[in-house]
Amino acid sequence: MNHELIQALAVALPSLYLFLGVLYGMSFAGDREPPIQRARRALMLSTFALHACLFIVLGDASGGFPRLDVWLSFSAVCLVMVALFSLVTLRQPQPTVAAIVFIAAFLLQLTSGMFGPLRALTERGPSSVTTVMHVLTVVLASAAVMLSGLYGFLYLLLFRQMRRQTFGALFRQLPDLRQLARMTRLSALTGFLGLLLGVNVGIGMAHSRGVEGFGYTDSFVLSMFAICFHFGLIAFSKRIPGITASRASWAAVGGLTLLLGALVASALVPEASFHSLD
Amino acid sequence: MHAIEDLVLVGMSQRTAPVAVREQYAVSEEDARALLQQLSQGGLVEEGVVLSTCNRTEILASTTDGTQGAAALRGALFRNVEERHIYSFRGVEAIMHLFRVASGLDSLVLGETEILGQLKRSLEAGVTGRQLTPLYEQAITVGKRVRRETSIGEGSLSVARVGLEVAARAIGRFEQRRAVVVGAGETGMLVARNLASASIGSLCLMNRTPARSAEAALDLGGGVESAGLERLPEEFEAADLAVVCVDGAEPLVNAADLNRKALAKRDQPLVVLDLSVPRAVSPEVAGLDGVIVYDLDALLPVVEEHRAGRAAAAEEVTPILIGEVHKFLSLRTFAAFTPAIEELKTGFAEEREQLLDRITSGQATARELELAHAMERQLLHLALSQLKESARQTQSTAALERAYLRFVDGLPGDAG
Repeated sequence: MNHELIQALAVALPSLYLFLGVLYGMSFAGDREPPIQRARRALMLSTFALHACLFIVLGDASGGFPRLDVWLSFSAVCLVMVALFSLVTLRQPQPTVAAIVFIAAFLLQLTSGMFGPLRALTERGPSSVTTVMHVLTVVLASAAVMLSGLYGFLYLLLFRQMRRQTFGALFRQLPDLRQLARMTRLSALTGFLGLLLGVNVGIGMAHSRGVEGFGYTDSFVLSMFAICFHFGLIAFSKRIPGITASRASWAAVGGLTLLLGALVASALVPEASFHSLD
Repeated sequence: MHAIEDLVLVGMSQRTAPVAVREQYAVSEEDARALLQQLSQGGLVEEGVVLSTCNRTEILASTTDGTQGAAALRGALFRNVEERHIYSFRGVEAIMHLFRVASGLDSLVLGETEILGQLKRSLEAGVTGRQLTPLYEQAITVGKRVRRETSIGEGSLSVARVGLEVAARAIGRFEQRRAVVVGAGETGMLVARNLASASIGSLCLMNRTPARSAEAALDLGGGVESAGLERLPEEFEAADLAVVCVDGAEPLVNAADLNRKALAKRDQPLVVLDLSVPRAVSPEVAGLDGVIVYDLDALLPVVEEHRAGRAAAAEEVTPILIGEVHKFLSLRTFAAFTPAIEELKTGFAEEREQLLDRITSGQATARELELAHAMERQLLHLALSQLKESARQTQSTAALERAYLRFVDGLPGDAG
């Protein structure tokens, strides 16, 4: 039963996210947008609930907190990214940005289901609080980094349109440049704090398990701190002379690319992952 | 009476020429006066008015020969300009064009009201008389009527407001931003008022004459700063939005005058709106890091969007315009006939007296006098009826409507 449910959700979720992307994409039409706001909000909440159900079922199979492999991590990052976006835009909805976020969610969820079998892992999931905290903070940080990269990308698009003096749908319907820059930095700050906490908790866990050769000077650890530092720079770039909103946006897009690359690399080359040291 | 075809209009506008061409042929009020004096001394041009705004430069003249007049006007105002940038109308088409301009149908922003003030000022600076004074006065009346009776003036926009709408996409909420307006003339003050009503965080008004900018800042109310142009680089560094609306042959804001390093280090770009013709912001400024520049041509697509939304309003104006053109032509014809009518009346009265004297040797009876007066009245009535009929046949309303629709179809760009 669990297996069938998981398979059904694995097929349905990418399609639902894609459909949401299309529905929210209609907001680019401005005044000519059809009156579908209530229906799409209901669909969004339903999709979110179904996605959460997936992890509840996976957790049930793992005997508590779900055990995540790389492909399930893609799915988890997708869910948290959508939740985070909905939360920060609760008071000031951004339907055009939502379209981009849902298309990104579709791609993440599709990758999750396509390249790795979405299945309940029979191994027991993490039981200790520190492990759960580590997983949650790293997933949250990754979701925030994704959002930061998306907002940065939109900033650069709009900025380019303005420099070229063109007035398409993006110019008319996206939030203004300052809002996009603010969201890029806010998401980067969340990513920075999440990574900082998550990596330190992970190192603490490794020490407590007595994993040999694992320390702050370790190359894996240093590379993670470099990424953390990268997003810290983006988060505080407004106070750093020389790092303009434009440069911060480029950095956010670069960081997103790095993150996706790291996720894919750890799936294809398991030895490159932290968890190979387990 | 001058033939209607001797009324000639030659010009260029945003429909036919980009701002880079238009700015070379902008004419100040002083130059317009001098030009018209010179033309009227030549004998070909009897009356003339020059209208030069940020979107058009045109001259309307009453000439002694329409064909030669058009060539003379073109040579005087638009030497070395490519044919495709110029339009030329004669007679009824010139009147139609003038009325369309006054109605705001030919403006960059459909239905804008600044054009009426510009027409009044151009009339005051013109060399006018019995031909052009009534024509311009009626054009201004038509402009007011159209805005009163149709929806074309509703929610009327100006280029200034369109520019601020575009700037908001970069700078976001105005309450937390700083703006600087360079130029305390009509457009500058309009921009400043729009910024004030949008609750701009802080505003600085700059002008060549510091005293004028201080006076203008006071007019706008408390909290508006003023400065002279020597502070331009510092003000541009500190501002989020800079609007430049000045008159001048040379660019006022050049890349060399600005602090490039400071601009490149800005977190958010400075948005510069150049609403001047000729352009007051040098093109190199747009290439600087940290700066986004919009001139009038760049704002055109946004203005066209608003125009498309007002197409229905433009249709409401057509019957009014045609009616007013017909009225003007009829009045013009009647006015031309007035001396002739007076002459007829005087002539008939004299003939009546002479005839009576000849027939009755100055001893006419009451009955004979009554008969003579009655015959005079009948004959005069016949003659006047013929005159009035020929005046009415100058152009019927239906013919005018056809002519107007042909005229609009033939206009360059989306004539609305």
